[in-house]
Formats: sequence, C-alpha cells, structure tokens
Amino acid sequence: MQSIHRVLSKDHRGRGLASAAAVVALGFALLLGGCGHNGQNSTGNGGGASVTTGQGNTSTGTTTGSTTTTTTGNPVAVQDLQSLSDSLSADFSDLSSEQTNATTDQTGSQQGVQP
Amino acid sequence: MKLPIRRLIPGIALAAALAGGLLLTTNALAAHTTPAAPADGICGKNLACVIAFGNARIAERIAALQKLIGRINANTHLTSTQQAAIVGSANTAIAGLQTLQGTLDKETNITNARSDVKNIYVQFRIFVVQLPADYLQAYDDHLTNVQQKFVSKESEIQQDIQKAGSPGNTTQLYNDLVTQVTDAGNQIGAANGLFPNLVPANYPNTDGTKTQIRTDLRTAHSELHQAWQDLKSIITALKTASGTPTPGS
Repeated sequence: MQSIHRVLSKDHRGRGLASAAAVVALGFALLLGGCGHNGQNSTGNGGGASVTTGQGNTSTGTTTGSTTTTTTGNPVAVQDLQSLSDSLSADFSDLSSEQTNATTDQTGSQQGVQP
Repeated sequence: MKLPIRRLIPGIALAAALAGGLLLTTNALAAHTTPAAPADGICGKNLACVIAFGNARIAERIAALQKLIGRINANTHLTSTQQAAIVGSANTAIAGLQTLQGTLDKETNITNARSDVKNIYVQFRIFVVQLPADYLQAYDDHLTNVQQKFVSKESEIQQDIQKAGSPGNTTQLYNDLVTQVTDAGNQIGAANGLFPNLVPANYPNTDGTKTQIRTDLRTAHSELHQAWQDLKSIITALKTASGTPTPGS
C-alpha cells in the first residue's frame, strides 16, 4: 500500500507542476497578445461597437455578433511635397529662359569687319 | 600779250576732261589690280577711325557682360557663391577689356592700333566663348540646385508613399523619379567636366565643347522635368488615397 501511495503522490506533484507551467504560459500568451493588439488589425466583440486601434485609415465591417476593423494605411500630410512641387514650378519657369540664354550665341554688331 | 578768256575756255575744258579721264582710269586700274589689304579695312590709314572702331567693339562687349551680371545678380535660384563665381568671371573680362581700351586709346601707330583691335577678338572671345560659358554655368548651377532639391526629398517622398499604403502606381512613379534624378545628376557631372575646356585659348575647339555641354544640360533639364511630373502624379495619388480633395477632382 505504501508503495502505491508513493506512486500516487509523485503523480500528484507532477500534475501540480504541469498546471503551474500552463498558467505561466497563459500569462505570457496574454502578455504577447496585449502587445500585438496595438497593431494593424484588431477584433472587437459584437453589439455594434467597433474597436479602432493603431493609426491610419480604417475600414470597418460589421457582421452579426462581431465588428472587425482593419487598418489599410495612414493619412499622409502632403503639404511638404506640395510645397516642393510649387517651388519646382518656379524653378522650371525660370529654367526655360536660362536655357535660351545658354544655348543662343550672341554676336557683335561689326562681326568680321576689319577697321 | 593778253589772251582773251573766251579763247582759253575750250583749252581749259579739254585739259580738265583729259585729267579726269586719266584719274578715273588710274583708279579703275588700281581697284582692279590692287585690292585693299585686309589690314587697311574700312578705316584705311585713319588711326582715329581704327581707335574709334575698337572702342565701339569694346563698349558692346562690356555692355553684354554687364547685362549678364545684372541677370545673374537677379537670379534668386542661385546661391551667393554661384553668383559670385560667374559675376567674378565677367568682371575679370570687363577689367581686361578696359585695360586693352586704355592701350588702344594711346596708340600713335596704326599697325599697333589694329593689333589691339585684333586682341579684342582673339584674347577675349566674349561673344563666342566667355558669355556662352557664363550663361551655361548659370544654367548648370540652377539645374544642379534643382537636382539636389529632389535628392534631399527622395526619402521623404518614399516614406509618404509607404505610409499611405503605396496607392495606385505611386511605387513605379517614385522609382522613375529616382531614375530621372540620378541620370540628371550624371549629365550635369559630365557637363561640369567639360567647363574647364571652355576658355578663349581653346577657340575654335570650344564650339564642340559648347555643343556637348548644351546637350548634357538639356538632357538633365528634360529628366528633372519628368521627375517633377512624377512628383505631381504622386501627390495627386496620395491626396486621393487620403480623401483630400485634389484640384480638378
């Protein structure tokens, strides 16, 4: 009987260790899941409430019982690029006359005349 | 003995006619057989005429150089360093011409005066080398600045495209923009390598150099313009993707 009891006790300790490991693993999984939540895709529960996380343009699709929000890109402030383009517009406007000056030879009024 | 005037008139007329005829014949023969030497040109033996001619040629060259200086100083697309280099080159030529003018004005020998006038052309080559070189340098400098403007913004353009999720053909447009800007830089670099040869001492070989620089810079200009078209298309695509109203939409 004693030997049977020892075997059973070992078995209980093993199960306890396994349970503790599972709890730690679950904790890590939740932690990792939480970190990943601030990403491009997120899923919310139903009832019409949409959950939007991260940055950028979002499209929201609602299905029965759940709402899915997907990030597809970020709104881009193009003011800087527009300013660059406007500045280039002034450049190219003046480059045309500079090209004319640079590619047209001038001549004196008495070219080739001997005094 | 006193001869009546009326009896002398026919004789005087005949003598005058003979003399005139002889003179015309001599001149005609001279013109036919001994053409004026090029050195005599339009002024003949008139020293003052040669000096005045030279002064007029110097004046029109200085006027053209000053016009260039005015245009360069008014060019807001160039850096002060770029402006100073071109204006300095033009001012050096003006100073040289003024020195030559001082020498010419003091000449008492017509041969020396003609030699001074010749130097206006052969030493300076203002119209055929100096001014084209300076105007090409200004064009080159401006294109260089535009090319650098693109290069400095390339990563920002790329990041904006990626941030917006690379809508439409923006990636292809960006790649083309980079290609155009890179090649424009190569063309400008090739032109820059030729400028040292564009000096009066190398005339008339400067004609070929000038043609090649013009070709390189025109190509660079065209490529940078294409890069600008790409940029404008990218901006339109980004505005459309983010829902920003675009002109004409």
